[in-house]
Amino acid sequence: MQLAIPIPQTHLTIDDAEAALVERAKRDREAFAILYRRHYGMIVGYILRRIGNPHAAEDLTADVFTAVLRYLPRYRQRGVPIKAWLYRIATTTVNRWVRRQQRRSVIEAFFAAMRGPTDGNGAGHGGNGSVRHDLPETDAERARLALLELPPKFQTVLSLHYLEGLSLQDVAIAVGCRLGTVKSRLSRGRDAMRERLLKSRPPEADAAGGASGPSNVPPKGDVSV
Amino acid sequence: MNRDRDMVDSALGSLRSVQYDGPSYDPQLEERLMKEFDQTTVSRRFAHRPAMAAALGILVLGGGAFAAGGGIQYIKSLFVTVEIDGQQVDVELQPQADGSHEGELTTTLADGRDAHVQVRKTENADAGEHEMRVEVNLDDGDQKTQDVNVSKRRVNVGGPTNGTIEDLGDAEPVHEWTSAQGVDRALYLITDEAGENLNVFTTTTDEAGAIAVKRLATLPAERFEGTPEVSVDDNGLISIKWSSGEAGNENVRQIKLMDVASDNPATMHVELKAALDQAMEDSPVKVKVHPEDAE
Repeated sequence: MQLAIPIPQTHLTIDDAEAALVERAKRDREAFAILYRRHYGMIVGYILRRIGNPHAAEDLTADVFTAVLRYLPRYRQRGVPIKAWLYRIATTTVNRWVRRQQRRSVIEAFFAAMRGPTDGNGAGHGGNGSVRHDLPETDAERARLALLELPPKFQTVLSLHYLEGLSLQDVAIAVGCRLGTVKSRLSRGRDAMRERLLKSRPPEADAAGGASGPSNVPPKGDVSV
Repeated sequence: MNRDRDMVDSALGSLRSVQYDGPSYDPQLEERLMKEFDQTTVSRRFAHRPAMAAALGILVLGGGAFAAGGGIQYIKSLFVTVEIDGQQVDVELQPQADGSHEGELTTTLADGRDAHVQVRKTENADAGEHEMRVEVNLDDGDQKTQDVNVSKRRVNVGGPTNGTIEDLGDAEPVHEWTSAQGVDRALYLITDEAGENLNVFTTTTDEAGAIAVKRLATLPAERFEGTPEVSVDDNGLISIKWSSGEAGNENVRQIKLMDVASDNPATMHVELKAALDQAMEDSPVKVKVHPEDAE
């Protein structure tokens, strides 16, 4: 569970000034605008790191803040800092999107299989019904695709902890589950991600690293974005 | 192994470096949100108006009046939300020796005044009614004034409804057991995306592995936070208990649900309420069913 590279840890705290702002934002449009501006970057950045597409990230961020506007009057601090609450809504929004994309990907893959292979390496389909992404070109792209293939519950804890830098306790608060569950998902998520990274390893990496197994096979179950 | 670990860390590290390079906020989205804010604020004002008009001075409210004025639904919490000049405070009522419930607190309002809130709730079980008295004293220099808006927290427990496996999302069961009939069961507690409601689901897995999902109840999430203890007795009565605080000053919230196997939704509904009501009688609970207000 230890990272070789240090993660800047963000501890979500209940700040008095922020708490007062949140209370005002329930009734005061200017306060809500401040709340929105203050957290827009955090949310759009989180979503972008999860899904990789800036335009889709902006659209989902709009969905998140629409939900925030709707639910904020019912928000009560009670140990859940506003940032954790925002992450919770963003996570639900992204996970819903991921499931939709995964289902679509499965359906498209089925029809593509019915049509038969259209090129030599099976890496993509032009024309009607593209079923998979282009091959990932950068490490970040490869990592993102590997992450997107995981069950959303693994994506969530890996993203919040390793990408957003939340402590495990804060992840538990944001996700609304037990600390032990977060630790378990983190460990299983890392294992699952390692598997997918090994499968998607580019040829040169295999040649250099001497690993066996498929080298030019794109990630299984790609998610279209 | 180390190389694999590095591979995962390296991948996550490369993702962490991805930054959104667009504007710090979206002005068009802000404009849209502000319009929606204005619309929702207007609708909220309309929603609160009747309550505000009715709630001046010391209030003595009967359950019947509540039900007639807009309908209290299935569950009432023993928390009362008192609104003073737009600021809400929750007063928790504790059972007293005479069977009534009382609570009080002092809070500082946004303008610096201190407000002392006292709530007393008495029940007349024979008449199926309850009364509530709310007193607010504002420290307003030489003058004590009262200007109170009271609203009862109301939650629609909803009664059992059929759910789908999708409702469970990624959640893991908080309790699994095998019923007296030998059927595999599981209990899920799932907070909705806004953190507002806590949905209580059960699943039944038949011999073929097919899973049937049922939502037993919906509770106010803010009152039922943390990890509960769950137990199920031989009759299928599910007890869920949340505890917080230190020993000697422990705050316990408990609900008991009867998952009634019945093809008749109406029967199931009534029996669920009855089971809840009965369960609350001898428990240190903060939720109570009032069948007389249910419909």
